[in-house]
Amino acid sequence: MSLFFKSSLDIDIRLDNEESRKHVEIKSPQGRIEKLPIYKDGESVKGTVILRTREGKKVEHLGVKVQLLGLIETNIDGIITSEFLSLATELASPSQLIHPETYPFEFKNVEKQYESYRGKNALLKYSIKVTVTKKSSSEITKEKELWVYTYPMDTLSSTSTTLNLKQQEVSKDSKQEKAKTSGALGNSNEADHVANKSSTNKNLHGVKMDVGIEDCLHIEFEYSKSRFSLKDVIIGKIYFLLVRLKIKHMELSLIRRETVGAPPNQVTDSETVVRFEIMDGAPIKGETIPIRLFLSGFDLMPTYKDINKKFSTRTYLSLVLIDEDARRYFKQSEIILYRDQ
Amino acid sequence: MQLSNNERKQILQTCINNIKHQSNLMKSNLNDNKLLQALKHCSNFLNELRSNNLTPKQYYEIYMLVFDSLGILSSYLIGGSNSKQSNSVFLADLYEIVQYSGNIIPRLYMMINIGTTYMAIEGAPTKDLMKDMIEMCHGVQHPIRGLFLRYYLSQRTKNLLPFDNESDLNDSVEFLISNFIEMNKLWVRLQHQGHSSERELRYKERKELKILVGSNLVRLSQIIDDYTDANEKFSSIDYYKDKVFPVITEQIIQCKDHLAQTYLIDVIIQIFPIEFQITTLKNLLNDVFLNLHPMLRKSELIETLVDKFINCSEESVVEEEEENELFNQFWSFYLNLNELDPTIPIEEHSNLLQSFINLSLSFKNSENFDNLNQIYKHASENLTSTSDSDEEMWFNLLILPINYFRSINTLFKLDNYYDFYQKIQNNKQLQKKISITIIDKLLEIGEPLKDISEIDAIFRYLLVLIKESPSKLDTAKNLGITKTIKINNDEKLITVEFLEIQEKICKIIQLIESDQDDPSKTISNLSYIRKKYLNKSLENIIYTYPTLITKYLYKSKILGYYKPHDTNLLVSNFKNLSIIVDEFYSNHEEFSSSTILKIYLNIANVADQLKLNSISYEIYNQVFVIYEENLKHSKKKGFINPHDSLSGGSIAYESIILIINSLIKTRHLLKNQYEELITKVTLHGSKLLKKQDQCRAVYLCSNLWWWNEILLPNGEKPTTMIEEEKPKEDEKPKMENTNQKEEGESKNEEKENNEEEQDDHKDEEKEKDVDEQEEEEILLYRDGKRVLECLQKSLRIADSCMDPYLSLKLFIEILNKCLISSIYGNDLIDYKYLNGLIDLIKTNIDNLQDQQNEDDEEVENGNDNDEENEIKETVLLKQAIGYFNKTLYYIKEQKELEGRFQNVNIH
Repeated sequence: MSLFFKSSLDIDIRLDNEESRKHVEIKSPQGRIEKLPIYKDGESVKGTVILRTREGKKVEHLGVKVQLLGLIETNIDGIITSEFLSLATELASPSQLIHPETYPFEFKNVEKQYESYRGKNALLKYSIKVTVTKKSSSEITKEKELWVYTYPMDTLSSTSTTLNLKQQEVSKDSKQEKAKTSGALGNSNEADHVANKSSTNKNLHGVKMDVGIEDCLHIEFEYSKSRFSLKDVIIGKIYFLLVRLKIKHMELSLIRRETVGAPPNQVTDSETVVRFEIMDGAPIKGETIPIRLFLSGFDLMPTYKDINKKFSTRTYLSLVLIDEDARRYFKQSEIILYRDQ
Repeated sequence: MQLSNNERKQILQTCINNIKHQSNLMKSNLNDNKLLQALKHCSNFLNELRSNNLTPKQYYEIYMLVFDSLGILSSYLIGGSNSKQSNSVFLADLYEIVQYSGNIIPRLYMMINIGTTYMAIEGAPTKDLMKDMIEMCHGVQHPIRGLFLRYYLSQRTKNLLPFDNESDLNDSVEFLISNFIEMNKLWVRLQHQGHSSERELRYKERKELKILVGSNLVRLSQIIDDYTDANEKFSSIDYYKDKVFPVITEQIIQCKDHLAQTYLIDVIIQIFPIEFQITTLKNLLNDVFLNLHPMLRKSELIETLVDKFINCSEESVVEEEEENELFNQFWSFYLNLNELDPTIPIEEHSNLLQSFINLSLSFKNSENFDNLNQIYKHASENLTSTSDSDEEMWFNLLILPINYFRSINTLFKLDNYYDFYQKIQNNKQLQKKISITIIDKLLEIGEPLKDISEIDAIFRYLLVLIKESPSKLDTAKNLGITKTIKINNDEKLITVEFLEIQEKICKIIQLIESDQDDPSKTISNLSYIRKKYLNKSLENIIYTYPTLITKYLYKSKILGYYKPHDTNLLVSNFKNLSIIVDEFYSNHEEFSSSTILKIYLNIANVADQLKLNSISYEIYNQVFVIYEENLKHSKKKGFINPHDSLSGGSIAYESIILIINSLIKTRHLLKNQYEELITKVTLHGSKLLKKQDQCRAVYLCSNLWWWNEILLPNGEKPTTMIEEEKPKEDEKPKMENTNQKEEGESKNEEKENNEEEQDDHKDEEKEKDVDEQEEEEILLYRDGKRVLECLQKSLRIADSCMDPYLSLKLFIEILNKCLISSIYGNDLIDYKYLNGLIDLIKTNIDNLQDQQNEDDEEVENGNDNDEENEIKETVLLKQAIGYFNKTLYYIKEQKELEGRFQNVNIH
């Protein structure tokens, strides 16, 4: 659609009770803050379309339709758009417009399967699109974006079962040290010499894990649960069963990971959304450190899991121990975030 | 990374500046009611508390700044809202909001600040807040930061902990105990931070921080106290025993940290009242103390505990009958400790036992020495010393109870004290110190030593002092501090201290006093101490024997008055006494003869008073032995002015005077004994070296031949003449006759016998002429002829003096003596004799005056060589004339008042 050509028709889309509806403030890719009205899954989208001609001109058209569209845009090797929702209603048959004309519309109880999303390499959006078809086979269109929140009814979900405590190298020195200690394993990756004692104990109520490094560190941690509403609080405890590291402090971070496409052409983007210190100084054997992290104050989004086979955005809870030599030891586990009423 | 002090100071300064800056920003935001921004600045200054680079003291400095700044926030929040309810909701929200802070230190400080602000509001979920805050504090595991954070929690909750009912109390106590336990863990952990070479530094830092940990216990004690005040039925003792004591002591034991245990046990003892301590004493001793760090000095804790008991002893928390039980608890702890660790250092033993001794001494039942005995028994049986310093510790144990002695009985009851005292016998100095302390105490008590058991009980402690050798004293050590004095012709240097000790022993001897009515018992006790103790060092008897003998003599005299007819007893007493003096003399004859002479003279006089003439006669003979052996040739002492008859003379002269003075007091010697003795002394007197000594001794001896009733005690009847009376009855009338005849003859005889008198003396003694007066039935020994002889003899000696001034002086002295003899009724000294003497003196004066006038003329002629001598002689002459004039004046007075000397010419 070209803006260079002056359109002879103004299309105005008005949603019912738009002023009083809740809006979300969201950053556009250009960095502007956009305010978008929020709709729920299954909620009707109702409004009016007003068409006005310019300067009293007569405009002939071949019909007016309004659509509710849901589409996913991914960017792997170029942008690919796919539609997962398209509803259309004919507002007017071909005729002539002189005076402004108002057309009400309503999409009743629309299933909006997915929550709106704007990520780095993927976005998922809903919009109302009005199309006026003209003789010259050109069209005049107008789109208005909606933001959709979904509130899943089923609160059960699964957590990741493969959890490793990994050690990240920070300096070259520590790498050399690693090489020495790893011995016959040679250039194995870091995860190899970290014994995984993990035994995930998952149930409805909580997550308990038991991890460590042989003869060096042995901790047990426990979260109250693995699924959290966005307004929830993460509550847990960490027991130190063996501490031979000189721990300086411990953090909890929330990492959001977006994966787009399917392997091998998969693009992953990680972002640490929250970094939260939960322990200062080195504990000794037998200490228990409490965890409490309020989520509602952070800019979090629900878990998008394999949306339309196009992308996923998951959130991981990462426990990071930092020792006096600034080496980081961490353990990540996915948490399921969902939107709650 | 080690920082220098200067770097640290710079960091500190930066921290301070930041805190002040951020704090000001917070304040101005608060003034504008921009709370969220204010919280941002608050979080900023709290970030300074995350510093790793400050010493605990510096950290405390910034902590205080932060504390004040947080106080500003808190008061804003309290005053900020109108209605209670909205404030409550507001604070609850705020409590959550601050928890978004990414760093734990600022987050927790803000939580505590807001949480405690919230707690102060009525209806706040106080207990939930308490639980939440204390739970979340676990996140800070860094020792210093954790300690301060929890201290902040403790400070902020100080007056907010609930205690309205027992459930509240339980929660508050649990809160405090929990905070205490965690703080203690952090505090202990601090020791293990950093490099092992910094251990000492860590220890020092921890000491600086101890009060943070202890404050929890203080608060605990206060809240129990507050609750007890408000609830009469509440038994705080049981509560402490069941709910508090086991938990906190468990932590103290478990932490296995030397400093923590030492400090915290001390705090527990100090802050919880004595009643609590009594209830938990058994547990504290046996369950806690025995399980503390093996290297920990339990004695310090015991001392604190015992001191607490002692200080409270006046409050009567421990009844008299419970005292033994209390002691036994300590004692069984001690035995257990020994069993558990047989390698406890000596010093530790010593300190522990000292505490136990102090405890026993504080008991109200001051006559109960079982506990002390138990201690000393154990000590003497089990403690072995390996070095001098050990013995000094024993000394401390021994010295403690002495001040509590209330009677000699104390020493009796302390059977085992002596055994332990003997353990330090290798260190005489220490033993001496103890013995002196005991003496001082006994002298202060002043109780008499009644029997041998009491004497033994005390004198065994004195033995070390009795045996002490003055010559071995280390005078060099005391140089410049101690004065030394010389005795016995420079033979020895003796310190004042030594003499003081000997003096104290003498004072103890004076305390020996049995039944007042039976002096013989005291006498036998005195003999006992001599044989058993005092003569253990013959060198030192010089200091103690005079006292012993004097006391002995005094008691003998009393005995004589009690039993005047038991002559055998009295005689044997004096014989025993004589043995003592003999021992004294045989060991010290060289330098102490003068003293012994005086002692003998005293004894002789007392024997005479008791009419034991054979004893006193023998003793006088002994006196002459001493005189001849050791005093006759004694060197003169210092400068003696021959002109001064009263300033004394050589030792020999003084001895003679002493003998004369003693003899003159006797009244019961047999006549022949008496005459033999006075003849002897007169002869010795005439053989003295110096003319003036001879002269004076002889004219003084004249008194011995003419008794005067004035010298007799009232009612005393001399027996010297009575006993002689019977065999010599026939001679009596003769004697009276001869008296008068001799008056006339005396002058002639005197001149004739001048040269030969000395030789004649012995022969003449046998031909006694006795002057007897029977007035008032008193028989006085009088022999006027001998008196005259003595005076004549002294005149001759005076005349033979080369010094005319001395001669003159002596003449006047003799004149005086003659006047007295005359007054006493010796008719042989008549007016003719006196006039002759006065003329002689006048002539001498005239001669000397003439001579001086001639000399004066020579002086005027310019010969002034002898000026000084002349002046001195002028003075002497003037003195003599003055003396003479006074004598004449006396005669004149006597003429006028008494009608005496009528024919004496005084013009």
